[in-house]
Amino acid sequence: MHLLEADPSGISKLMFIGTLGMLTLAVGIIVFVIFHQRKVIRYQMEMKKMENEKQQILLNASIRFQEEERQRIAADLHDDAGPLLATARLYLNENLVNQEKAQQLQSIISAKQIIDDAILLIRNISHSLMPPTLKNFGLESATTDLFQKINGSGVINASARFHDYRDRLKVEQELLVFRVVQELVNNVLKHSNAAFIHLTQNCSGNNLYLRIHHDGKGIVQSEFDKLNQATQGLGLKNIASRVNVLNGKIFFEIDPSQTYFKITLEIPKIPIV
Amino acid sequence: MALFSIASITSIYFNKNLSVYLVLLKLFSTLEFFTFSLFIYYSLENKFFKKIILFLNVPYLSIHIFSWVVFKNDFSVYPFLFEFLTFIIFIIYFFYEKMKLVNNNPIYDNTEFWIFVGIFIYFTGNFFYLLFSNSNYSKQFKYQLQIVASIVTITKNIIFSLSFLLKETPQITNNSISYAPDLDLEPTRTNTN
Repeated sequence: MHLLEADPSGISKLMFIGTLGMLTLAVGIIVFVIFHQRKVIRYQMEMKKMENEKQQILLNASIRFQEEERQRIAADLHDDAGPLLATARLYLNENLVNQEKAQQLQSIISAKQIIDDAILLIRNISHSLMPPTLKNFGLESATTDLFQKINGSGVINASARFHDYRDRLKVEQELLVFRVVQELVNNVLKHSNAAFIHLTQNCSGNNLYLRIHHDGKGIVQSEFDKLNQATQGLGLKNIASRVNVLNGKIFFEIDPSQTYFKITLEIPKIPIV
Repeated sequence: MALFSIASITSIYFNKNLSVYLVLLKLFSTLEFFTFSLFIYYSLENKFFKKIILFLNVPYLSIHIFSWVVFKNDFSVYPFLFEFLTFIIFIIYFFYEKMKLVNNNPIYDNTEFWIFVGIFIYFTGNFFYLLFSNSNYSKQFKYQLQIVASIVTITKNIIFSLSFLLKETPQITNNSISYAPDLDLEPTRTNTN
């Protein structure tokens, strides 16, 4: 300070450089804060855009799935039920009254048999749209029934266990959850080559949890997300879309022991009023 | 703004009487510290730092009273140094807090941010003015000091005024999904053999 007092021009210079330095530092900090925040906002917007694109893919997939389902039902009705009923009509034509009694009886029996087949076919189509067990007895019975049928085939060891399902979900929710489970099980049967598949259910707070374990070839969350972004393949997109409608969450992982895969579903409960 | 205006007008009026001028300066700086600390208190998110900034009023007042007793009618730099350093540190912390905050609106759309910018420029720009203000330098040097202080104060006032003209856009909040808790979802594995 004494040295500076001896040289007033030096002090003046020091004061100006110091003030300028401090102001530069201040402006630098402010500019850095602004640009950093802009970068964060830009990143967030990109993430949001990607999420919107994902939603769009899911929506398209669900529309495509609905159309395919309609086409399948139309094909079933047109190709199977249509010919059956047309054949039955042939048996019951106007000439039936002119035929002999034995022939008449034979025609009626044949027509009855065909109509029974048509009834069974229509029932099967109807059951594929809405399983009667699910409608009448709920998710627990329908899922257990599904797993028992798979186990009965002898191809794979399948079982389902519900720990806490005292309060049923809304019918619409149950149907969506059941469809997700059906699709997951279907994928395991088709692609995993698993020896066992097991489903467990439990509840915590206002959430319902379902977990599927299998010892076949499975996928982890990153692969699920990747497949979900892909343009082809409907199954996983339907799962994601249904989970979205349920406001739920799905998580694909491999057990730390690397012996089996786990798929966990988290569904917020909407109980029946 | 009102505080600064009153201080400026009174300082012009009492410029000739040094003892009155010093009393006014000390009174003004105390009010300034209290006002800014209150503003920072309401702007920060961290509760710990909120408490600290309010608590710092006590040591600040103590230093002020101590310097008043010791230096009497002389100008003491210590309370001001304490004030400047405290606010510079807290404003940097405020910026850090704002950087961490996930927000869809740009920070420069916020009135509060520009008030902080104004205060920050005021304290950083006047820091060296404060360091040299205690010594007996030439009249010309003091005049240079006054020019620097005036430019910084005018800049601060312009930023303050412009900040009130800003219109803030409403914030959009994000919903987060909680993870699944540790439930009994383990399989009761059946023997496949």
